[in-house]
This record gives sequence, structure tokens and C-alpha cells, in this order.
Amino acid sequence: MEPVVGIPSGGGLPHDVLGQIIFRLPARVVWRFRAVCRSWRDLTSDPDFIRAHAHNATAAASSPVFLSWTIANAKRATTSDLLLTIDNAASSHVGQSHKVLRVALPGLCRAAPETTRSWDGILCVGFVPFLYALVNPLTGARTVVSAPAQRDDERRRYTRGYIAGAYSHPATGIFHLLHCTSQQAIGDDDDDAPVTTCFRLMRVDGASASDWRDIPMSADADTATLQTMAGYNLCASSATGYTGEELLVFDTVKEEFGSMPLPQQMIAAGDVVIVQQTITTLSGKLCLLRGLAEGTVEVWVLEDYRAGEWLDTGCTTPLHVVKPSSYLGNVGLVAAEDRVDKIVFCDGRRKQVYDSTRKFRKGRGVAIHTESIVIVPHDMAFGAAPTQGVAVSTHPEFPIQTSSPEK
Amino acid sequence: MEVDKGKGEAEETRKVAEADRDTVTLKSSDGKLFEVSKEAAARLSTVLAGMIAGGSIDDNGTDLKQIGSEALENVVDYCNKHANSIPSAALISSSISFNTAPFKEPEEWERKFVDRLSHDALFDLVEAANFLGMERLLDVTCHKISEMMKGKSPDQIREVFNIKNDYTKEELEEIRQELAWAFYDD
Repeated sequence: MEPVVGIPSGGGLPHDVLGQIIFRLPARVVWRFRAVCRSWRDLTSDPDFIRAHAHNATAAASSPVFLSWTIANAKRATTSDLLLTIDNAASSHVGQSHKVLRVALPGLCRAAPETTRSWDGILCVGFVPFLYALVNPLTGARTVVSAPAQRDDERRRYTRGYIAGAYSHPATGIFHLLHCTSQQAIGDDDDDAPVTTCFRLMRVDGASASDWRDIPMSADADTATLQTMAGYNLCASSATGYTGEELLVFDTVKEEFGSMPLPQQMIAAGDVVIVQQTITTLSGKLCLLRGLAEGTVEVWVLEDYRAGEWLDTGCTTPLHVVKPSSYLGNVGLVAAEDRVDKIVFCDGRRKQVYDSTRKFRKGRGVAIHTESIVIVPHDMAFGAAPTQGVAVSTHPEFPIQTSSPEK
Repeated sequence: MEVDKGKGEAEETRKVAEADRDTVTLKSSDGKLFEVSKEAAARLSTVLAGMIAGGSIDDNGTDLKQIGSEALENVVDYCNKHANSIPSAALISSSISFNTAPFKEPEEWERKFVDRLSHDALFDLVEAANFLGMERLLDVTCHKISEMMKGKSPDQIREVFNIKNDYTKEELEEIRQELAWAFYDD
């Protein structure tokens, strides 16, 4: 049994039993029941409960929803709003009324957000290259953090920074961002000049805007984004190239990188070419999708992390060949009880949905999102306090500016 | 399921007989007696396992004063059904399921078992399972209750659980605003 704290009341049920029942509910329902009474709200506000719930595989098994977003600037406004909508088109939430969550950004935004991904229930909207807005769409909590400062010890011809992964810490529940910068030295005529990769980690903690810390890792510069896995102490990423046989994993407790083997090919190797490998989660477990040149996708699930044991789900979905790297890491699965219904590829701007009838749809500004009551920062009241970290308006290079009200 | 009280036996005889028996007799708060397989009781309930091991089982009916006869009948019924379903349980654990989780989904017969219960019977059973330390039955009944709760509004929940709304009007309004998307159906 998971530890359940707090003493809810009602129904004549023993308190610990009622706590266990609430613990099993999906994040959205847990959040809704805050309106029942004070003791239920206290229970669902307890950091221990939230942490346990976030790592409860039963709760994490709920199907992902699809969020679409846009930026809205009202006339004469001094701040912008991020408008989030549950995208019904591809989700199982058909027939719902249209509902929009308005998240006030701390400044005026004139540029479209560049990257959007969701980790552990927190949506990360990147205003490349300087700032990231973190939002929990369910609770309305949000904060803004700045990207790590660029190092100008030598000039670069190519710099790319992005959030490689993010997670709610398994022990403390505090949300963390793992940032990756890849750089190529200037003056090198050769396009193949070595690219250096730097990983930095930040604890998103309302109490202290902690700095980015370097995490040593020697890996290929093309390291893709990482996928968190509920209940396990790691993020993971498909490693080098499409034929790589190792998975890059990040231990979120030890805060160090490691690797683990990928499953062997289902079909006898040799004449079958892997054109795409990417990872996602399925029912709270790490899941590997392997696109083969013949136009099918193998679905693997990591059954036992300690043993590195992959299980062939027996699911091979027909698929159009997708342009590989642009979608890497941004994959969502809509799983029915015993099969994958849909595989959804997203890159923040486009979305392609594949289902068993091979139809696909496209959309804009979409992120795949699994709801969670995880809070960010850890001890910050949700929805109430607007921002922490670096104020947008004080960042000289960021396209968001706070202008004085027009008269 | 109800059995006659064995009366008039000498203490010595009773103890020997009990050691040989493969069932235990349980007595509900309202004095009704139920017989259940000793093996199933020990396997499914940590409390009964402790009582059997400690020799505190009474052949004339072990008193379970906290459990009414309807709930106890369901407990015994569950134990008997569970004893008959072991092969199916083994089969399921070796197959691959997308819903694999620390909590295993209720099996078909478990689902039917709790589905037929009235609201009150279900709540009584979850309490009995908790009292007897029956982890699996507790899982199944908690699962059923959480399934019932999913589509409900806070108002409906207060009604079902008989909870008093202790928020002020202003607080409730504030919370409703916080809830944002939480009123979507699942």
C-alpha cells in the first residue's frame, strides 16, 4: 500500500481507507474533489500525497490528452496570455465543450513560443532561447525560469539549447529541468567539426532560484529529448543515431547519466532497417517505438527496469514512414486495454495521428500531456502566485517586454 | 453458509478436532456463523492468518464483533471464490497487459462480485476488508468505489459520503475558480 497521509472524513469509512480510495483517482478527479470539504482539500494539498500520487502507476496510466496553445495579446495590454485548450480532435475526450485555460504571462510576448513539451504533468513552453514557462494546466500553477546563461569563453558558430528532460523528483517532488546546450566552435571550415554538448540541471524551487548545475556526460551531440517514467528514478533517451543499441538514462536521484541496452529486434536483423526509434511512456512504463523501413512500428515496454528487461507487446502497428528526427521524443500513445489505438507524433507545431485505419490528422501548437497534480515549484500555492525565477521584463534579450500602459 | 453451533464438546476433543479441520468458523456481530476454508482465510487475510497461527480461533465461532453478517457473508463468499480462481490468476500474471501496474486490475469474477453489491454493502465490505487485513479485497473494493466516484461532482460526492460542506460561500467560489479544467468528464 502506498503511504497516504492526512485525515479525510466522510461516509463513515475509516480515514485510511478513504485516503486510499482518493489516492486511486486520476489527477483531474482528485483536483475536482478539493471542492468537497476542507479535509479533502488538505489531503490533496499535502506534498507527500501529491508526490505519491505522481508516482502512482495506476494514476499515471490514464490516457494522455492533447493540449493546443496560442498566445493572445489584448489591445493595450501590458502582458500576454497563454491560451491552452484541450484538443479534442485526436483525444478520447470527444464531445466535450470547448474550455480554455488562460495563463497570464508576466510580460508582453510578441513571438510565438518555439517548443512545447509535457513532463510529469507540467507543460514546458520554451521561448527560445532564453526563457521557459512552466504550467500545470490542470491546476493553473505556473512559473517562469530562464535558460542557463551562455558561456562566451569562445565564440561559437552554432548553438542550440533546449530542455532535454524534466521531472518531479521521486523523493522530494520538486520539479527539475535538465537543459542541453550543443555548440560548434567557430572558425572550423569543416561542417563535421566536433560539437560539444553540455547538460545542466535546475531545481525549480520557489524558495530559492537555484542556479543551473553542470551534469557531466560524454555523449553524442544529437542526443534527443528525454522521457520521464513515472515510478522510476530516471529519464531516458534514445541514444546515438537510429541504429544505436543503447539507451541513455539519467538517474534522477544520483543525478548522473548511464546507459542501458535496447531490446533486440523482433524480426531477425539483417534485411530490416530501423528508420526511427523513439521513446515514450505507456501506462507509466517506458515504451520504445521502433519504426522499420517496411512501414511498421514495433512497440516495446520496459517491464523491469532493474533487470533491463524489455517485453515485446506483440503490437506491430502499420505506419507511414515519418521523417525521423523532427518527432523524436514527442510521441504519445493512446492505448486501449490490450492494444495501442493511436500513435501521435508531435513536434510542437505539427501533429500527426496514426490509427489502425491509417488515417492521420494534422494540427498546430499541440503537446501531448498526461495530467498530474504535481506542483511547481514544490511549495508554491497553485494559481495564486504568478511567477518565480527571473522576471521576464528584466531580461534584455528576451522578446517579451513589459511596456508602460498606453494612454 | 450458516452452520449450526457445535455444542457440548469437551475442550480437549475440540482442540484436536480443530487442528484437523480445514475450515474455520467466523461469527458476525449479530451472532451468525460462517465457515471458510482455513487455507484461503490464512492466505487472503493477514489478521485471520495471525489468529490461526496464534491458536486464537474458536471452533464455536471466532468473534468478529466489528463485522455485520452481510459483510461477513461477502468476505467468506470472496474467499471461497478466490480459492477456486487460482489458475486464472496465475495465467494473467504471465501475460502482457498495457494496464500492468502495482495494482492488478480486478479480474472478471471480482468485478462481478463487487458490481452486484448495494452501495451500503460495498462500504461495509471495504471496512471489513480493511479490518481483516485483506489486501486484495481492499484493492478490489477501493477500485470499485473510486470508479463510482469518477464522474461525480463535489455536490454528488458530499451526498454519497454524507459530508457536510464546511466551506464559506467565498471560499467555495475561490476554489471553483482554481479548479479550471477539473470539471471535465473523464
